[in-house]
Amino acid sequence: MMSVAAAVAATNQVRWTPTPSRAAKEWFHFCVVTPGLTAFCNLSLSEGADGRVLALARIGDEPRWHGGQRSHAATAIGQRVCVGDSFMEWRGGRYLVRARASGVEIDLELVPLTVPLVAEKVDLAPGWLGWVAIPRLSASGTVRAGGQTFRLDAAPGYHDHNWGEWRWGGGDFAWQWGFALDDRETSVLYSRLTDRARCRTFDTKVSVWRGALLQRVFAGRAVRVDTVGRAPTTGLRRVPAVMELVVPGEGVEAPRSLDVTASLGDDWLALRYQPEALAQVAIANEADFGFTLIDETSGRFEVKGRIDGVDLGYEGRSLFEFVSFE
Amino acid sequence: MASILATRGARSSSSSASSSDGFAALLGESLHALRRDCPEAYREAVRRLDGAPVRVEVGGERVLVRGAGGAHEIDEAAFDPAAATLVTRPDVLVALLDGEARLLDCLLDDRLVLAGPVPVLLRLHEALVWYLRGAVRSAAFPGLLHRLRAWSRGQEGSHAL
Repeated sequence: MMSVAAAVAATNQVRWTPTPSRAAKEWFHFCVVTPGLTAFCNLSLSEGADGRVLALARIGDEPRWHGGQRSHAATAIGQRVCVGDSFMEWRGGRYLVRARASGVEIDLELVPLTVPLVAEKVDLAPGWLGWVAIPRLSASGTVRAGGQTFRLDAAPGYHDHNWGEWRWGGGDFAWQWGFALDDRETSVLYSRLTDRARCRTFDTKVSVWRGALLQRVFAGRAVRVDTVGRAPTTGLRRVPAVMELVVPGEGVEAPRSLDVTASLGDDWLALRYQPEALAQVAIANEADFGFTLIDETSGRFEVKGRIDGVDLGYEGRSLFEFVSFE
Repeated sequence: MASILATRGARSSSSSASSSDGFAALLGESLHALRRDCPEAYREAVRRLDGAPVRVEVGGERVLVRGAGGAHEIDEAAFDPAAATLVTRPDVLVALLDGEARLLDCLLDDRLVLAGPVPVLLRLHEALVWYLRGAVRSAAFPGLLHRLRAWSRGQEGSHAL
């Protein structure tokens, strides 16, 4: 049987090649959730040799994120991506990650514990997107934020990798995703691709892993999504910081409460997520003078369900992302 | 006596009175970058300043910015009458660009002073919005912002409006 590391190596390679195409994009997203700390970083590559590092951390119950985003020159050689003095590398069956931005420092080694979920050539009309998600990794290392140092030893982590060609603002699409991990072996990943108005749903999935293996995927009509209200904007920050001045209003896509219910035969799952802290990454559209807004939230979730005759019931903290447009 | 730096279209001249990283020089350089990297935003910004010259005072530097014939002009002498004035400190400008201060708060507590007839202020606001829309799409602006921060640090201690 193929090991988890081999499955990751076979499906999750760095795709980047320098190209004059403004549409080419690729990024690597790593999250960790541990008592007292929620943190993530994103290393992204865009046209030419430009790269960005986003590093955000939420300490305890604080209603706001620390950190921010920085732009640097970027390189991608083999399975190592460097953006300024930050990097991500796949080596020896693990990810080595270093990220620096606006006072947040992330130094982690992350070992995948589940096989990936892979989506290739998702149609963005126009454009396309590739996506690999690994919902559970074992993260060790340090995160520094708000003047504190957090040492992680086998903390739960999450990783996804996106690549493709599209122009921000050029396609009628928006997405949501988030994960919910128990403290042992159950990993749940929610993902949804819709049009901008959220009137048409192109793809909705609730994927459930038990241990290393994917156990069940609820998709399409088997999944119902309900949202209530708007996430609290106390402590709302726009990233990069200059976008506070550039993007008008306080438009937020993240709801006060997200309810996802899924059922297939005797299996069912209910996920409730409620954001507590919100940072909004603003991207200047390439197709027009608007902005793509990515709500990065930290909050609490609750999972209930029954799969293959086994009851599920757990709660915790996690990160969910919601995309909208201004 | 301050000399005059006039920039119109592709014709520009330097001034012996301008530090290469003073506010006026950085503003002029940013407008050239905007015209090169994001001409549509430049056109929209300059069009709104046509016939509405604005006196901008930052860190003891005073310039008159206007649009004329689809291009911008920056007059460092700034003796001509202005339709509106904008006065602030370098550190306030940097705080706004770094998201550490909000425009409305700065206006309410006089860290940033805007004066002029309402229709002109609305045109100035629209011009600023277009300037910023272009700025975040121009590869030149991160470097310009870095230099503005360095200039602002050099101005610390002279914070009177």
